[in-house]
Amino acid sequence: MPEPGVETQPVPTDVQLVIPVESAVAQKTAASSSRIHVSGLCKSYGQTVALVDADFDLRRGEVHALVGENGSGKSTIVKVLSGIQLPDGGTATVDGAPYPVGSPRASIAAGVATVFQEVLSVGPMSVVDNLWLGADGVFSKKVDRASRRRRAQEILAELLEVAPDLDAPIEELGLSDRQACSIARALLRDPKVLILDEATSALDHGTRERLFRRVRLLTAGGAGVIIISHRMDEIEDIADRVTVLRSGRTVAVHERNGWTPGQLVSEMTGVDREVRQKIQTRDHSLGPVVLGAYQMALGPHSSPFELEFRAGEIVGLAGLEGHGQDLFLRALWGDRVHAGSIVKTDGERRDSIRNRRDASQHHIAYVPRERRDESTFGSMSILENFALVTISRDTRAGLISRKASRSRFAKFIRDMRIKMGRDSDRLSTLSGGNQQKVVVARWLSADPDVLLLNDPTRGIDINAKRDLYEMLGTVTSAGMCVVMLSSDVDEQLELMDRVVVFRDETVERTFSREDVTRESLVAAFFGEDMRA
Amino acid sequence: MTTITSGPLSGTLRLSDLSLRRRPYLLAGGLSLLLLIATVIVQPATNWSGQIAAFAPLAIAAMASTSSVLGGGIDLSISPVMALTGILYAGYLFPAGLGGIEALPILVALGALVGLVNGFIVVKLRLSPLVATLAVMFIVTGVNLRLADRPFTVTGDTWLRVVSGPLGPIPGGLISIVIVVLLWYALMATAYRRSIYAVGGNDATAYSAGMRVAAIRILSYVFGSVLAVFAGLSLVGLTSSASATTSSSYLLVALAAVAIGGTSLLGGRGGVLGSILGAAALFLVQTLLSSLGVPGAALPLIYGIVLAAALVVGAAIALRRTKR
Amino acid sequence: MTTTHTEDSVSTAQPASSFRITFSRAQQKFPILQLLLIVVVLILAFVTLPGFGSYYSIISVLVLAALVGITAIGQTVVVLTGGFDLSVPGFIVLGAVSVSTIIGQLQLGPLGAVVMMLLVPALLGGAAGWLCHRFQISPIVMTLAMNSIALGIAAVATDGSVAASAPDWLRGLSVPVGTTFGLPVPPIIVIWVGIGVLVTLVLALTPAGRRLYATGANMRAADNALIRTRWVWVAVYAFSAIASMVAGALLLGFAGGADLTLGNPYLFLGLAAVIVGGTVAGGPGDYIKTVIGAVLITLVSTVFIGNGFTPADRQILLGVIILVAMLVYGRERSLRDRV
Repeated sequence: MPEPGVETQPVPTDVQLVIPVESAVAQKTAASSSRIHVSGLCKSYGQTVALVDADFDLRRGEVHALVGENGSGKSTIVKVLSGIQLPDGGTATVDGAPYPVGSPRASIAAGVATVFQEVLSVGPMSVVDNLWLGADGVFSKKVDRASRRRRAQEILAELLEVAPDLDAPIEELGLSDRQACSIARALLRDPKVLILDEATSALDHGTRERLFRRVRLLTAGGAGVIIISHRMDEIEDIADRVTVLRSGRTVAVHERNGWTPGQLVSEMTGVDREVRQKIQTRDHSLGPVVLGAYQMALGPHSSPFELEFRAGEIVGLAGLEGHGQDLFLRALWGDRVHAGSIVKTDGERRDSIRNRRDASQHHIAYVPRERRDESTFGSMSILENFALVTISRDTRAGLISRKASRSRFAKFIRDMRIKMGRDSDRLSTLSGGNQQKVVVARWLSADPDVLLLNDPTRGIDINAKRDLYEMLGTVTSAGMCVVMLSSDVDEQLELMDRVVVFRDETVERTFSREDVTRESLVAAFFGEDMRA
Repeated sequence: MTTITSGPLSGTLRLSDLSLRRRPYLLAGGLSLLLLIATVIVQPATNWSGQIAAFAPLAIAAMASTSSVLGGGIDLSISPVMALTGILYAGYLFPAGLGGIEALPILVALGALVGLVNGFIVVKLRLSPLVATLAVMFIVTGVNLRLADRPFTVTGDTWLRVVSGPLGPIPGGLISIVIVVLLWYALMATAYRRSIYAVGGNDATAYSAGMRVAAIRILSYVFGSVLAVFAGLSLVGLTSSASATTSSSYLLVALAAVAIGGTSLLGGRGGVLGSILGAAALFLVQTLLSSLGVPGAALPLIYGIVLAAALVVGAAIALRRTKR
Repeated sequence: MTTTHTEDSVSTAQPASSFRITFSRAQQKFPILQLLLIVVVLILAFVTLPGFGSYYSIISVLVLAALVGITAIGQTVVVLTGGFDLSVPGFIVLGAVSVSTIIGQLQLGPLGAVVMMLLVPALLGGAAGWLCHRFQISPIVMTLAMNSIALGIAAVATDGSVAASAPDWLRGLSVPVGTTFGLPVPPIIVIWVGIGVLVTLVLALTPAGRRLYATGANMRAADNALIRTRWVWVAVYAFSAIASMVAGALLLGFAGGADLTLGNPYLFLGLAAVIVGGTVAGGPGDYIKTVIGAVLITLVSTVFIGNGFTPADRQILLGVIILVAMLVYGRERSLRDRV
């Protein structure tokens, strides 16, 4: 259990403070006045509703964490506050004045600096120029050369201990250093509000610590900091308050020490505390091993591991974002992102899978994560999207027979309850859940032995999920092996025969269906052992 | 020497890799030097003043193309704007008695207008720069054909002689190149330099950092068209004539010069020095070939091959960079 | 239980009127707007051009449309994969020069002629497609280079001078009073129809066509769907080059002679036909749309020129039309949505 109360670090005297002079005044004023106040915010992207009725309050001098699942709306709030997106409704103020919406320039001028999860930098440009992006006018230089270099040097030394070469192109730096530069860019604007949108995920441990030290200095001076993070340890460490979003609404606001990780998780996911019936009893026996990964090392410093998958199994891959489960799944598909070997077993034959062609020839199918970028052809019809990979089965004398595709598709429409108009409509007319069903049907129609799925139910409504689960249950009963990466804890609990938790690019722990619980699973993500 | 500490390509960068990436104009520079030496060897009696005068329109056209490319776009209407400039000067302004220096602001304003239209269509209407400037190229070419169904000639002495003929010991072409280079560096001495490189390098980053991306990009098209006007004047000064077709080959060669010079067609990388050196390399190819007696008919073939090769080399280097 | 809001959630702004929905659905499938415009322009032609409406005047328009349409076959296919082919003029000239001069010069028999007309463009175009895919080069600039190469080969072969004129049999293909096996339709129209049907069939009804559409719609997803997108690009650009060569040969017959500028108008005419017809870069689209686009812009050209405007005016008009059509079909995502 985390220690209550985090001691504030003493202010180091050798660090040049880059905070506004108003600090003394700020400390006199009560910490009750808001830096930012948002009420009833709404935002939709076409058909997708991102925010329905979101409230948020940021006090002077506080670090406020914003948490929620994917699709909860937290990133949308950030995009509205940073000026990237225009809200559809609601009110927002900054320091009591109306919030200047719709333009990043206006937000920055109002003192709100944002650092995004995606590392935004201009590759060929030098480090110092990257740090000062946006500080000049179109023609006028607003900061003299000496100051630019001096302040850049200072802030980088503070964040990175060893400042990189100011004139090096930023693309030559590693990911963590580049993100630190993006953060430095925000800090150099002397912000009244600093927003860190999952900005710490790319940072290495030392930089993160130094960043938090700077964050505490900022808030001591009266600035407010909004932090979006999935990492409970971070939130416990730094957050004075936590706001939980779910489905575009604010569902809870907690003060420091007024919450536990489990409570946050349940507020994020809306799980009520009743015991739920698991969707199916999975009691069919498992077949032989069909796919194996041996002496797997996903990175130069990670511990090797070994995993085997059997016919009829559903195996879940779990863990915090970026801890290797995505790499591993793609390695199973033949992408060479690893050291070690992938072996497909077919009765007596054991074949090495070295690339995607091997994978498809050995009946391994893969459903990618980003539906829009990696799977769907929005401008093509639903039927075409379904039949694409197996289209040669529908040809009569070299020409495609729509009737043949239709009859093959009918089975999947029925079994997966795909809701659609005409199959000649564009795929983009379908809801996300139904689009995903079509994609899964596409691969199922290829009769794979192994089906790999990369977070297939993210952002999909519950009924569509249930339909997919049912389908997976059916195919595994018939002997297919399913390996599924999932960022949904409930899904892991409900669906899987086994859950493999990844941490730091290696297998942290494997749970069987019987002994997995929410607490132990989430704890394993953080490397804590909750075997009790 | 920089060491990359993470990722699959950790280790020290190779010397050649580093040089070409940090100084992308080296390839064009080296090529030009070689070709220069070869030309001098083959034809020691080259009339350099005349050569530079002939080179000037190409060099300036390359600079004009660089402006929009740096911002991440492209402008295919540069060459018809060149022709338009010449046609308006030779066929309309000069005969109307406006052939003096007063013609310059008129023509520059017109070029800026074309650039503004291009910029507006690309930035505000959000059409792809390729298609948008291609359509504008069609339109301006049509206008040129309309205005000049037969070629115009400029008779008599005009101030344009300065840009083509020698001014004392200085070759005239050099003067026009220098003037345009000064214009370029005057603009780049302001914060615009960082602005355009940022927008061309990663416009999403520039936008999120609060830069005025739209204004910066539109300006790159305006500036490019203005430089195209100068290229057109240089051409008229050289040939004392103007027609709708004289500059049609400049587009290809200008783009080739930009590509060879190391300016990435994706934006944010390279610069005008590379474009000038690239133009020099291509021009010297032509000079060398004609000194060697190769027929002019072979030129399009050779230019095409050189452009294709430059594109492949440039892209291969860029790909290697992004694999990190 | 998760109740995340997803794309299935209801409650949005008021829905577009049902007419607009039905109309855009129908317009996606079939170019209604363009057909309406054809009717309008036809009426304009009847009214403003004396003699228009006779059988042979219509046939003449169709012959011109056929020439544009044939030169636009390659462009259609290239645009469907998300590119633009600027090498059309060069290969047109090369095709014309091949038929009139090179084949004779090199004393190539029928086999050699076929090799020249098929293999040379296939290799050049295929190389362009391969290089663009492999090195992520913009097809516009690469085909610009290829245009110069094709033109260059033609220039070298003819020493830059005007090519000899066309053989009689070739000229006969596009004469308006020509007949095909007794039908009162000049052969070029029949050829156009034939090629058009073939291309449409392949695109709509074969696995190869399906893969082409997929490659254009989403290259990454196509790769994930085990489509060999590199070979799609090679095939597409090779095909476009071949089509342009063949078009050049036919143009030679129509024009009676050829010089190095023969192909120039057909770049923007072909591109205009594709864009005005409603094919979007990367799909959706098909050749029938291009056919309708070709007829429309040929009609517009005819009315325009018939009413005293010059070819230069026509070029300006078509540039404007391309811009307008792109505004309807082909705008890019705003910067907000890309951060």
